[in-house]
Formats: sequence, C-alpha cells, structure tokens
Amino acid sequence: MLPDAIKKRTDSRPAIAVRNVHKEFIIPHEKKTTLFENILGLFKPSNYEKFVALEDINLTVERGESIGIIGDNGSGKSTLLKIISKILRPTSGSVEVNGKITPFLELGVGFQPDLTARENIEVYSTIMGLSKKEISKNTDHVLEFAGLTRFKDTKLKNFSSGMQVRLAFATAIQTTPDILIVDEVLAVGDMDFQQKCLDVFNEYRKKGITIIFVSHDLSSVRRFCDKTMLLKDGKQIAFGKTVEIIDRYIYGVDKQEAKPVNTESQTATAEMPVSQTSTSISDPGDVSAVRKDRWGNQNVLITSVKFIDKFGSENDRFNSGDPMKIQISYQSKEALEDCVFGIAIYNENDLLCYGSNTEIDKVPAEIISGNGLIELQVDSIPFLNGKYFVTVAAHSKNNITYDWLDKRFTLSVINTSQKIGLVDIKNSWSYIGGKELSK
Amino acid sequence: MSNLWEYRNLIVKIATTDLMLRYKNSILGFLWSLLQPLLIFIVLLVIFGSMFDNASIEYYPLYLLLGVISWGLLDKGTNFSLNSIVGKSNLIKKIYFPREVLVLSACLTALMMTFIELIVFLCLVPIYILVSGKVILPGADLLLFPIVLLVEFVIVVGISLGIAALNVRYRDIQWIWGVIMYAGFFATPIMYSLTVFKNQTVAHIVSYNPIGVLIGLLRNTSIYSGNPVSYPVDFATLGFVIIFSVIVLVLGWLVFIRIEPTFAEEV
Repeated sequence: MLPDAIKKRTDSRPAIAVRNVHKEFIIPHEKKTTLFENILGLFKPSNYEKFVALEDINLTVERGESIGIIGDNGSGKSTLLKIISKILRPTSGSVEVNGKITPFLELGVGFQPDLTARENIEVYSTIMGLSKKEISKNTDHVLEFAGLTRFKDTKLKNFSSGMQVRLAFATAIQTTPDILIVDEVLAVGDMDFQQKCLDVFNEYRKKGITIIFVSHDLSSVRRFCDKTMLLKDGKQIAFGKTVEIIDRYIYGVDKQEAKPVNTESQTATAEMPVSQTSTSISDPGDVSAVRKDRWGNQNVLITSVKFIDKFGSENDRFNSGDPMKIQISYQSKEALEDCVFGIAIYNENDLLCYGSNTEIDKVPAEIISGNGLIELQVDSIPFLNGKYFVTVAAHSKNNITYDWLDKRFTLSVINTSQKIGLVDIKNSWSYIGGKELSK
Repeated sequence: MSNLWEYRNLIVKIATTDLMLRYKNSILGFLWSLLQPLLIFIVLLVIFGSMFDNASIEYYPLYLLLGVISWGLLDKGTNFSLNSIVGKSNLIKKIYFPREVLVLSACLTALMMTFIELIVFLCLVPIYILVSGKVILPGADLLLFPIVLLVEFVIVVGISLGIAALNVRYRDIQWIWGVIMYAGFFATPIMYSLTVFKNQTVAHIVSYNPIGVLIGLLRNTSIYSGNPVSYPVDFATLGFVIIFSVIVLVLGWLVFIRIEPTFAEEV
C-alpha cells in the first residue's frame, strides 16, 4: 500500500487533467401535475431546454499544486468539482484523475440523525474508505479533536449544528488523500473553526497533497492557491496566477466578462430627467420630509457619474486598497464661477463614512460652462469590505443646490487581504532596538 | 466488479446501519424483523391451514413458513432496493462510490433479515415435531440449501439493480412494483401446492414460475431433505434456476449501467 502511494506521488503524470469538458443539463419544461397530463405527455414529444453548465473547460493540475476556482454563483464551479470527483459525467470531454480523491464536497454527508456520534464516525469513515481496524483505532482521536468525547453516545439529532460540523470535519480529516477537493467548507462554522480548517489545509499542502479549493472567500483563495481558475457562465475566463485572476474577477478586465451588474441602472438613473424626480423642489430645507433622492435648481446638471478602476474601465466592484477614479460629467446652463462639486460616501448602515468637496479640498475655482468632466482621484480605497452608497452634488459656495444626487450610486469593496475591520490603516511595523534590548 | 470488492466494507456497513436504523424509535425494536413474518405466517396458517387440500401437504406449517420466509427475501430485497438510490440522494449527489454499493447493501439487509428468520424457523422445527408427533430427519440434500439460497439472492440482486435504476428515471416503478409483488405472492406456491389447480394448463404455467421452482427447491433441500425419493432435487431443476438467476443478473446489470451515469442529475 505504502510503496504504491509513494510511487503515485512521484509519478510524472498530472494529478488531474480535465480536457475539453462540456456539461449540459436537460431542463424539462412541461409541468405535469395530473394523471391525465401525464398520459398525454407520453404521446407528445417532450419539451425541454438544454442548459450549458460548462463549456470547453481545460485544466491541468500538477501534483502538489493548490488550485482555486472562483466565479459568481451559477458559474459552474460546483459542477466542475462534481465532474472531477466522478459524481457527474461530462457530456463530452474527458477527465483523468491520478490518485485517490477525498471529496469534501460537503461536510457531514451520510450522517444519520438517529445514530450516535460514535456510530456516525464509523459510517462516515467507511464511506471514506477506512478499514474497520483503522476506524476503531481512530474513533477516540476523532472525538477528541472535535471536542465531543463527552457526547460520544449521544444521538446526532441532539447535537447543535456547530457540533455536527465539528464532528464531520474531524472525521473527514482522518485520511490523507492524494487529492483534496474542498467546496465552500469554510462557509460554515465560526472564526475559530474556520481557522482550524485552514490550518489543516496548510498542513496538507505542506505534505504535497494536491488541493482544489472553491470558495467565495477571496482572501482564503489568495492565501492558499498557487493558481486560480475564473469561471463565468460555465466558461473558463482565465487560469493563472491567483493574484492576477482575483483582480480579473473583481474588475472584469475584458468587457464581455464580469461586467458590473448595476452599471446600466446606475447610468440610467443618473441620466433620468430631473424633471421627473424633483423639478418643483428647489429648497433643500424641504427635503427631509419628502424622501427624494435628487433635487436642485438645475443650473448645473450632473449627467453621469462613473467609477473607474485601475485598469481604466468603468466598474462598481473594487479591491480594497486599490486606486479608483470618480468621473463626474456635468452640464452647465450658464457660465458659473462659484460651482462646488462634492461627494459623500455612506455605508450600508447609513453611516456617513467620508465627505468632501472641491471647496474643502481647496481646488482652484474655475469658470464652468457647457459640458464638462471633473475627476476625483482616490489613491487607495481605505474601506476593507462592504457596499457603499455615494452622493454626488453640485452646489454654489453659498449653498444653493444645483443638482444633488443623494446616495444614488453604489460601489462594492471586496477585501482580499487578511485584515479585519472597517478601514485599512496605512502602517508599518518596526522593531526598535531588537536584539540588544532583549538581552 | 473487482472495483466493488474494494467497497465491501461500505456495503456491509450501509447494510448493517440500515438494519439498525429500521427499528430505531420503535419499542420492540429489532424484534419486529422476526415478529412481522411470524404474524403474517400465523394469519396465513389460520386462514389457509384448513382450506383447500392444504391439509394433505406434508408438514404444512413448516411448508408455509419457509415459503413466507423465502418470498420475504425477494419482497424485502427488491423493496429496499427500489428506495436505495432515490432515498439516498444526498450521498449520490455529494460523494463518489460505485452506485451498485447502495443496491447491494439493500439486498444484503434483506438477506440478513432472512438469516434471522431462518434461525427462528430452525427453533420452531423441534416445537412442531413435539406438537405434531411427526419425525423430520435431515438428509444429504440439506447441503444444497445454501446454494439454492444463494441462487435466490442472485435473482434478488439482479431484479433490484434493474428496478432501482429504472426507479430513478421513472418513479412509476415503485408503484407498479407493489402490484407485481402482490400478484407474484399469489402466483407462487407459497400457501398452496400445485395440486390445488383443477385446470392442468394453469398448473403447468405456474409450475414454471422460477420463484416457485426456487421455493420448491428450498423446501426439498430442507424440510423434505430426509425423503429424497418423494421430494427429489434434480439437477435439471437446479440448472433451470441457476441459468435464470444469471440471466436476471445480467439483464439487471445492463439496465443499471445504462442509467447509472445520470443518477446524480435525476435522483
């Protein structure tokens, strides 16, 4: 057994080779509810739709590599994992797997609520291919790792969900597979547990086990994976270095891919004629009573607001710490000298996070007239994570509102680092003194 | 096939777990696996014991009980199997292992229950001897009993593979199968013998019912094994059921491997 395993590890064949894999699902359309419809249905040609879940996927994973797969919901990540682990068959194409796979597709699969913890460990371990001897040897250790020794003869249905996950995880990590497939395991459990999972995976990685890791948690992907594949609507958009792929996922470098979902609606709302929303309102004092999100006397009109990412394209998703430009297009009816442009950023709890304008920032006043564009350069987005609402306004120095678009624009900031909290603080650590002092 | 051998532990584990789970939360628990066939047997014995010319069947209560037990293997095995794939969709969708494992363990659960019933049967034989005063002696044919039981198990596995797979695609199977088993129960000499038929053609047709032939062989190699002259175990009959079992197994397997690739999508 052992020489065989060693031979496998030193084998030059790739651990996983996915070639031209396509997968189609058939979605039947007709809904037969009554017996009569069912009988009729027998004589009608069945009406169905083909759904392409994966299209021409090619992936080679060398031994010992950690590969991440990222993409939006429904992009085919799980389908790909299921094909690799032989749960689903590809419609065409081939999958070659060299080595033993332990699919962690989900923790606790096969757990029976009516069995005790000990019995469940036995069943689960058998599914993973452990022999009886190994199981009886390991059971106590598993219970200890899960911290459930006291409850070994308690039925699983009396366990809290956290306890069940701990038990499942402890059971699942008994074996050392050649290839480990992890699908969103970390989504469950508290911080402590997640850390435990990550530690175990790190351990596996050091042992040279091939890992395929699917997660929405980009910071774990960044930490774990040498290479990453980006999927979008079943298509393989990119495969390469994790850092580059994560950037690509957040910003969607190519126009046809990963386009911000609500750009259209953003520009649309911004260009919506002012007359529809608030022509009659010119006094800002009134506003709090009526919930309007646009007001002003329209001497200056804000025609569009765009967020530009570091690649120069419009976006609404940004990596924390990256640069961003806010481009405000305006239209001025007459030549104005005292126009001030400003922005304010609110978080999801309606907390004002930041606000400034050209007057506060002491931008030299300019006479504006006709169509123009003003750009605000943000060197580094300080927020770590979350959705933000942006107000853009133009008003005069003595506070006559020209055009006020209140929280009309949204942007998402995605944290891909390990830092926690609301904002990133630029910092640097350094030891002062060091060795001499500690002596 | 060789692949399945690696999964023998899993087959046994699922089978024993299912057996344990079956009676969880019931007061009598495991006893039900014995009580149920016994109660059915008593009902049948009371109703049919004095009817027809059943009285002329030698050792009728044992004849009937063995019939019920061996029919039970087919009945339970196929019914557990029907649900073995569709009822474990969480496993099918999340973990890879050869799907035959689930059907085989369902059949194994049934076989284990049959063994337990046979032990009870064995305990009832001396009681019957005491009560009736008849002497039943085992003969050399008794050695063939495990082989005949194995043949029945092969048939059960064959049918199970086929219907379990078909049931994934057409859930109608689970409804029609109940009817088929009900009809089969009456078309098989379980509570009667072939001599009840006045119509010779019907008797002739029923005599070719492979399950009936098989149950006949089970009786001849056990309760009637002491009297090989009146109850012979001829190799033509044995060959007939063996060939039948192989055909059923191959057919069931073919159906299974044809539908198996789409299990995870359709279950």
